[in-house]
Amino acid sequence: MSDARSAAASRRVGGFLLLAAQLALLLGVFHVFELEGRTFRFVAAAAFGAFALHYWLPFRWKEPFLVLVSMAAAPLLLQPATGYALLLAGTGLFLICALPAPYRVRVALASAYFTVAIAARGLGFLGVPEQFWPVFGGIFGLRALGYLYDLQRVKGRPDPVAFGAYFFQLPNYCFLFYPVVDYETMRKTWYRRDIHAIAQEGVQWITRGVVQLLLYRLLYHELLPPSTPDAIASPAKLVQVIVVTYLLYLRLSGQFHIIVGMLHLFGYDLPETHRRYLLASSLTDFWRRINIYWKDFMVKLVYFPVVFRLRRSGDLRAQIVATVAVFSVTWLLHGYVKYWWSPSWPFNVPDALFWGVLGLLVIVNVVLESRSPRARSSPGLGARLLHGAKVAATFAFISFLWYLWQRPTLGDWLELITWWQIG
Amino acid sequence: MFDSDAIKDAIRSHILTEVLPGESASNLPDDMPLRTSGVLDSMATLKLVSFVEDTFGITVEAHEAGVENFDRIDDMASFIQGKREDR
Repeated sequence: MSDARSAAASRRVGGFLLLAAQLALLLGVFHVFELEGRTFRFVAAAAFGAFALHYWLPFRWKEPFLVLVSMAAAPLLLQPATGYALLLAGTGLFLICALPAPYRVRVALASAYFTVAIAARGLGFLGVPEQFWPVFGGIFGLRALGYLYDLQRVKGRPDPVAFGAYFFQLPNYCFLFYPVVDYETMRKTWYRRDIHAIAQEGVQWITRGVVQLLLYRLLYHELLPPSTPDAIASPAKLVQVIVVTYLLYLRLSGQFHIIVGMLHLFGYDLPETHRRYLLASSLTDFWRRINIYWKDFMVKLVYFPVVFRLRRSGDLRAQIVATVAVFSVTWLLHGYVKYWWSPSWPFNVPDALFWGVLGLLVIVNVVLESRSPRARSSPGLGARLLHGAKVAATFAFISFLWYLWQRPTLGDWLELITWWQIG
Repeated sequence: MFDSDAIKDAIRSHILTEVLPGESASNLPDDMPLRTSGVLDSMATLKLVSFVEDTFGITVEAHEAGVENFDRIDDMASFIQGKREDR
């Protein structure tokens, strides 16, 4: 496999120049549009520059080089104290994972490590800069769960370079809401095909991300009415604010495309993070298309373990229980992520309602899908119209539910959606 | 009883019937990523796992149903052969 990977990393001057020219053009676009702030533009310049060196290095040096650059960039791109504290925190976590102790002992120690971190975040007893905690949460908060899960199958001492490549990723220093990259997938897909094809796909995804970020900017500045009762004075304004609020998610999907596109430049042939989620034709379809890494993370850590434990008592029952577990854990972990940003109570009623309603309706879809096997799609006009109606209905419903999720309280949401009637 | 090619053919046939009805077998090569490209979702993977267990007489654990063993038909065949040899 190593030989196949090494062959996939074969260098070609023409191929490199083509990629380098596109990346230079993208840097120009970032600069002209002042995209995502200065730190992002520094990160992009560092990543594209690192790519230019990484490409020409012998295969065995590629990943150590990337890890070295990414770790060295932490104190440079963040506040130095934050950067050094992150390196220390990462070293501590690696030492726990690499201890010559049974897997359960290492998981218990890692749990203690995160318990102390959560307490320190709330009580402030470690004396680290305030900036440290959101970055710590963005880097280690969720990916550590996936890493620890995969660690049970790692024979011998975990590889420090693979650990470094997994946690210390350049884009993570500016994008704290980060796709939950799967460790196993990252290792498996590394140089699994020709680097030029992997990197070219990455360039395409970065470009797609840029387009989405520009669309977001247009929506935010030109089309989003203020969410105040006075501004929502008609049903049309209400529809506009609801739809545009949902479409603002383009910012996150755009960032995710850029992040994974950058990882592609270094040979990680990772899958898409979002797949045409605005065209979902059912809630289950929506769940499968939006933030695919999160869905896969939940499938791996929650859905499959629950289903495999219960499936002898009936597949459908197991799937329903597992889906309930997935949405409950999703709700809790979204609160956990918010906590790293601000150490206050991270749960509210709209949040619980959003995940509760979405989970319930996905369960209904699961039951319906289990009763009707997949059929070959018909190209007829009637089938297309029906599909279009389903897409429109799903979009409308998600927009409505999403608006609820984005409001701070249920009362605030109710006031805004009914104001045009009573105002 | 099942050599590598027979395992691959059985898996391909299952996927074509259950997940990609109407698709040609030639469009489903052994090295095509299925999980990491979105062809196989969690429900389809579960059905595939049940099919593999029933057809090849093995037991698949939750942690074995990840992309390491269930991404490509090649991976699945190697995994199944390994499990059968371990019995």
